[in-house]
Amino acid sequence: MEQQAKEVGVIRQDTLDAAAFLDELAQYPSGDKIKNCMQCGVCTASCPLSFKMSETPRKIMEMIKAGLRDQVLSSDTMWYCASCYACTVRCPQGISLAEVMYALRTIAMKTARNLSTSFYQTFSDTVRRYGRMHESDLMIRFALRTNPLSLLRMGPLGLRMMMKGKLSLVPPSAIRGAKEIAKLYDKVAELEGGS
Amino acid sequence: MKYAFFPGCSLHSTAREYYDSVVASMAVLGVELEEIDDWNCCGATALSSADTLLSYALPARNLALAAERGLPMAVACNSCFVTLNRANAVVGQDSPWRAKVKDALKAIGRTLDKPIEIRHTLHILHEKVGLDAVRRKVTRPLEGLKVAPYYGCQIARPRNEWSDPEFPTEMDEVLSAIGAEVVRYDRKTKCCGGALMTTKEDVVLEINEQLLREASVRGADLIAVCCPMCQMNLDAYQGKINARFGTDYAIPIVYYSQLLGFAMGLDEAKMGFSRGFVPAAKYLRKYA
Repeated sequence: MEQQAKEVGVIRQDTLDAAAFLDELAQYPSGDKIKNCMQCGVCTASCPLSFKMSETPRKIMEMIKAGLRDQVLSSDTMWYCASCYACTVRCPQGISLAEVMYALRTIAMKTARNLSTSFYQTFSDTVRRYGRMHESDLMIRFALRTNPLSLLRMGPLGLRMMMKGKLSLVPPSAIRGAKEIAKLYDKVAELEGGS
Repeated sequence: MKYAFFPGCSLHSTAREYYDSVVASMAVLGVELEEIDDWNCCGATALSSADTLLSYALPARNLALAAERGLPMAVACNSCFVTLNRANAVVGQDSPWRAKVKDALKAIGRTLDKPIEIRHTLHILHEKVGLDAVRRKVTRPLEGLKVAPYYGCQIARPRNEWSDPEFPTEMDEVLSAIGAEVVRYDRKTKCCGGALMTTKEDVVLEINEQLLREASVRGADLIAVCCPMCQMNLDAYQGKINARFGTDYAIPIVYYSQLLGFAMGLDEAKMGFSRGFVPAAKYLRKYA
């Protein structure tokens, strides 16, 4: 029986503290609606990238409800979400799965380290530094943080973008309100409890 | 008609042709896009993934700047559009987030009492300017030019009052108004993967190949877009897609505003067609 359960992908509830993870997620936008999921699978069917995910969106929702926090946070599901909101507009229970994916990423960002977390962190650092995005600055810092050799691979495209006037290597000047932006980051951290 | 224009970071760099063409063509139609002074990055999906409160507070500073100026906001980038709307919605809801966003803004001397009006430039064109006004300005009708209208995701979703979330038609109608032949394009709101091109390149190339394939099957000369992410993924990576999948697509990816400006007689060079990786010139020559 156990063998069979595994094959059909039935989720085994290893932890009985299911409510704790739901409560944690309820602090995030749309997180309080997860409990309404009825496993219809429209999200998975609508998702352009579900075929690549280790667990489909539908399955992730059930795993959340089962309290499988570690398994959910170590899945690659949320890192494949492109925020296209196809699931969100179709969910018959009014759950914004795109928001749930943001919430899972935000929680995972605190502990996980992978290409995606490095990218989002570098992006955030760049905005704090200049007040705006600076693509070449972002890509160079991202590469240095993850795989410096990838700079060689990105080089040709970057050069062509520069020739088209779409990228600049000149360090950007920060916006006049850059200090405001830094202060905003600090204030937000304070409001979030110094995290 | 005057708007506080939020161009967003892409329109200052990778999508400069969008900036130039949308500002110039809207001006011809009597819409002044006045760039918001000292605007900041909206944070896009990266900040929504990293820090919830910050992902509201960063765009909220821009909303406050537009409110200070006393103008409705115009946005040209889909990603900025969804991010600014997401923060705007929170300001209108009685939620713990609203109080925190206001506190954060207060700390930098800004206030935002209520949501502001935010419109995508394509919606302004379609709803406010109107198709008749567009038709009256056309001096070079693009008759015979086959265009696939590609909206991407975030202009239509999650929800707004102007676009159908699955099958919007406003770009189709604008393109028809300038004389172009709009081809059927069922993938018009299927995702291009956006910023995942950086972290999940293999699969994002795959879904972009599907977008190009349908445009090709439908006989499109080019694809019109309304978002810098879509433009970049489909255009700058088209060579890589061809190499990966053994295809030979050569489909120019242009902004609706470039075609609009060109059709209204604006200088072809100023519309920035040459910034595209896949050249569009051969399709435009006969109208120039």
